[in-house]
Amino acid sequence: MNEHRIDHLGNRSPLTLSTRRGLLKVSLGSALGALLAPSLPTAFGADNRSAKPTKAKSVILIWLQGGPFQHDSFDPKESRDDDLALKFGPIPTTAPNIKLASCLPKLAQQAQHLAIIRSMSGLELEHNLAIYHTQTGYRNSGPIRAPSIGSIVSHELGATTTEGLPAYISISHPGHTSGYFGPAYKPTVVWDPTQPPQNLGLPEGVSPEIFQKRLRLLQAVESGAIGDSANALTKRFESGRDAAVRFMSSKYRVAFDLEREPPATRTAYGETKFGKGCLLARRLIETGVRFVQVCHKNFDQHTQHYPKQTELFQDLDHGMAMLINDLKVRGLLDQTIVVAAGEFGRTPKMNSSAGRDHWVNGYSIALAGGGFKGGYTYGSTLKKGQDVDENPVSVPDFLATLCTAVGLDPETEYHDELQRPIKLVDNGQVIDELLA
Amino acid sequence: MEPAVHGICKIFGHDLRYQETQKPFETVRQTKNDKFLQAVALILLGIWFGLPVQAEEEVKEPPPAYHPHNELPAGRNDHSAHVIDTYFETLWEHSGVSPSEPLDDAAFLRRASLALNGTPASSTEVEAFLGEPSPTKRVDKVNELLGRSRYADYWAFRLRTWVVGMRDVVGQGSDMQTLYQYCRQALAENRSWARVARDFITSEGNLQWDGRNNFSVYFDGKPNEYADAITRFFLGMNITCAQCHDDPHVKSWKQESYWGLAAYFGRTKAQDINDVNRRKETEKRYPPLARSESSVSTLPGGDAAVDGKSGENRIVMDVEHGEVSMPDPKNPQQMKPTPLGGVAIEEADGLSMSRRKQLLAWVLDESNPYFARTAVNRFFLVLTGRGFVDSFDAFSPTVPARHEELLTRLAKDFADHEYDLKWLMRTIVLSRIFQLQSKDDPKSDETWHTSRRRQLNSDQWHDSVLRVTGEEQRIYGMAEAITPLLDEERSRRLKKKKEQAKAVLVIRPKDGEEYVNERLPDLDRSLKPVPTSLTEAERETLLKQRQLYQGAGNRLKQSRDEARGDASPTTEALLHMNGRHVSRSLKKGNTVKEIVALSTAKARLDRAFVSTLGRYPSPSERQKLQEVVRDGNSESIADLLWALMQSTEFLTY
Repeated sequence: MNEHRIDHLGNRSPLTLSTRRGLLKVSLGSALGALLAPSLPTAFGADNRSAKPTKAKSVILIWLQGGPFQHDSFDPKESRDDDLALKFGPIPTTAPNIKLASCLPKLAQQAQHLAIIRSMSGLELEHNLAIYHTQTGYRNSGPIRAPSIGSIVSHELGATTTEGLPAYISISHPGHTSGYFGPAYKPTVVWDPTQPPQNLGLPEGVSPEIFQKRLRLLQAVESGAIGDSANALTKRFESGRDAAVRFMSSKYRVAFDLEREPPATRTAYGETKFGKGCLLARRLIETGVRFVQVCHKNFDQHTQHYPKQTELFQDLDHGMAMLINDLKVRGLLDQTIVVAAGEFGRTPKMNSSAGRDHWVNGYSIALAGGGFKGGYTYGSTLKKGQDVDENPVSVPDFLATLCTAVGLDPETEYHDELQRPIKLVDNGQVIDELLA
Repeated sequence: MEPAVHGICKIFGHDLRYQETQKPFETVRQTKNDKFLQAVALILLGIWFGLPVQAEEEVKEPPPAYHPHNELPAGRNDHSAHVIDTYFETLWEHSGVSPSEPLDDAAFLRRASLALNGTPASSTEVEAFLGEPSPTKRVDKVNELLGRSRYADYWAFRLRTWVVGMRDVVGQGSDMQTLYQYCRQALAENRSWARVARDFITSEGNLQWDGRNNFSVYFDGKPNEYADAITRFFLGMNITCAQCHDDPHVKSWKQESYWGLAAYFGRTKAQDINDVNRRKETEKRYPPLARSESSVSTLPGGDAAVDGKSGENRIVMDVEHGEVSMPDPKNPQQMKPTPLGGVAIEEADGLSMSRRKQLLAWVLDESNPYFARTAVNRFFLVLTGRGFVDSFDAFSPTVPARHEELLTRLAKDFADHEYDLKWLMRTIVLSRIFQLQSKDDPKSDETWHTSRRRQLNSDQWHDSVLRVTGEEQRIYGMAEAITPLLDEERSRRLKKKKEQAKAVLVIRPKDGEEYVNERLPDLDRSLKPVPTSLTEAERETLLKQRQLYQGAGNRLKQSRDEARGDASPTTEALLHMNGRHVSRSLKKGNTVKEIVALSTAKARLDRAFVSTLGRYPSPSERQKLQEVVRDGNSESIADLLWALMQSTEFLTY
């Protein structure tokens, strides 16, 4: 496992953050020592704040933005109907009862780990509204400002480690609303999976020595002046800076360096933005990040469905199959939920521009690991996909099930700014059959 | 109130009055405080009639640095600030709390500048203000701040944020550029809040040409959402619950009330005009007239530095037919346009004005107190961090507002001042509660006897960094150097606009006059084209410099965009400490160089503090920090400025 060897972090002296509560010393030297271990340090085992004991500890949400077509992926159909113009028929998989569309050959090899919902019934046909609904479980009309699932999980469970990385990271996407939990539960954003988050590194011309000098000056400035009148705000800034400096000097910062992976692994994930995102997600989960979202887009193709969506599915096939396999090999799949979902599906019938439009009456979401049954499907659609056939699943049902799998009670009540009681997930029926 | 709107109110005033029995706007008073309220009411009455108030004579001698406005000469039009003071002084005495100390001049200047212009004062301005002996200097300064173009630049961001921030899906489909231009123009001209309401509620046309139409982003084919937005924005009430069921807390808000209100938008359509023919057709009716010259931003970098995406190709228009029905399958009745808690207008469609204009008449009607109350509450919340209710839209007929008597009085004064926003802001900023020191005291949320310290918003932070590092000055210098070219561009724009305006008159001869007036209110008042005569060689050189200036504007647009939004405290700290906006401004701006050029360590430390925090260092700060700037090394000075810019004092006001 040479690939994980940390060769150098530069000649940096220890970073020191001065705070009113004392000196927080983070030595990059010792971090370096720790990183000479052959593999990324795994940080599982930290206490969960409120959750019931469950298998799942972390979540990787593969966010398929734009609306992926269910029948080219997790709910293939035999139909040769011209209206439907399906290009990819069902192929057998490693799970006896599951067939996937033929453009997902690699995922077919991982089907023994998949739990697939084929009967999703959404309510919103417009992107932004549907994204809000799928991410929060609430419709975006009315006064409630609900948090998205990543904010919920990171708020309830925190990071699995205290070693400096944030609890919620969003890759290639600015992240969704944190609702009444407030901005502290917004994700840290990684725009480019080959780069660390913005502003994590010191600006050009500022050495660690200068930075440390500046922090000392800041301490001198902060200790005088306005005193008690700004306690709450001073604490907020201090804790933000503490977390930022911990993050800057965390030994886990190497997680962002994909070059440390062997070329074969990188190739297996796919040399695409999405594939790199999946690889980064795995590295982040290993270091104790609780919730990682990897965005894959843009599935919103109203014209020329083929080949536009096909390419996206090929990337998905590479990245997601390798991610599941890799987690399994590392013994992390049991405690990590991988979920692939978009805001809705697409019309089974092709439109006049050879594209497919938005569709909510029967689309699919795929889950793996973290206590979900492997090789299992739930619900179904009619033969030509024209509607849900049995066991319709609503968006809140899906989110309630996901919450339960990480040990959260979806009925937990919070009060928003106006003291209205609001459940984490409203009106969601947990689908017990999906959980092992 | 504007004459046209006033006429509408008169015509329909009778129909629009509320039924006596429902009393939708009557608020429940707290009986506990009745006695106190009576006392206050008496005093307010006294002030109203210009009677001397007893309590005033007992006010203690204020510290010398503080010049309370109630000692100002008469005729300064600060009457209502006095009303606010008297109300709270009585309240504090009654509740046995003592107000915190007043701000000194330096802190006042900082807070007022950030509140009204979105930037701290420059070091020159701070020094001049501190040395100014005039007893009216605070009033004069507030007037000056309200008169600056930066007032419009900054508040246009606030107004735009309010509009697009009403839904979680921020700004969906709206044109952030034209919306900003509209907001800036409205503020630069100091349009009345009633006029802003008219612009937002009744405008028609393309949202890419005319920013007002962006309010209709809420409409999006859903009349009820438009009605919802209007109620929240201008009447301060959130009636969304009644969309699906009768409101459990407010009896008069039935599901019917909600959909009756929605019916006002049953004949308003949003239409995409991507089709070339359709676009040409709509251009005849809604011509793509260029913006007003008064909406040209004076931010460093100019209009290029205004962040935000452009919008969809879409128009809003009123059509002749269209109805709204209750979504209830058991009771799918077609709704008549009905004001909230009012009576349905029976002949609504026989009236000569559009339904939206009827709604506007109701919103602005004298018997509807919520329009003015909502605005007063909004500006108190933004300027002081405290409101009569806790958010812009938290009014409700059943929940009493704080300081009800004061709110009623100020709302009336605001209406009497023709909904003049500058009057309102001036009143608040000149009142004593704006000028108190801040302290963490939970009791103060009710009695307002200390100020609430707040974090700078993204625009305040962004522009503070530019100003204190001297980067703003540098970019303004670039703009100055290319003035002849900018003048030439402006002349060209004005010429084109006048041609377009003529074309409109030809197309709409009947009501064209009103149309043009509405679109180009300042066409005649706007600056006359400046004659410029540049040689080819001059133009060539200037064009190159123009490109540099444009580049600076584009970079600022990016940094403004990066600063915006509700990032987590960690992300925010990373931006403040390591972000390019700070490091680039420190490196390129004039301030470090200017400080290096000063001859003594004392002068250097003074300037560093005055530039960033708007005050001189305290003796202990001098003791701790003077050594840092002793040798005048530019790196050490940059380090100190950096540290000052991370301090709580810099990040808050």
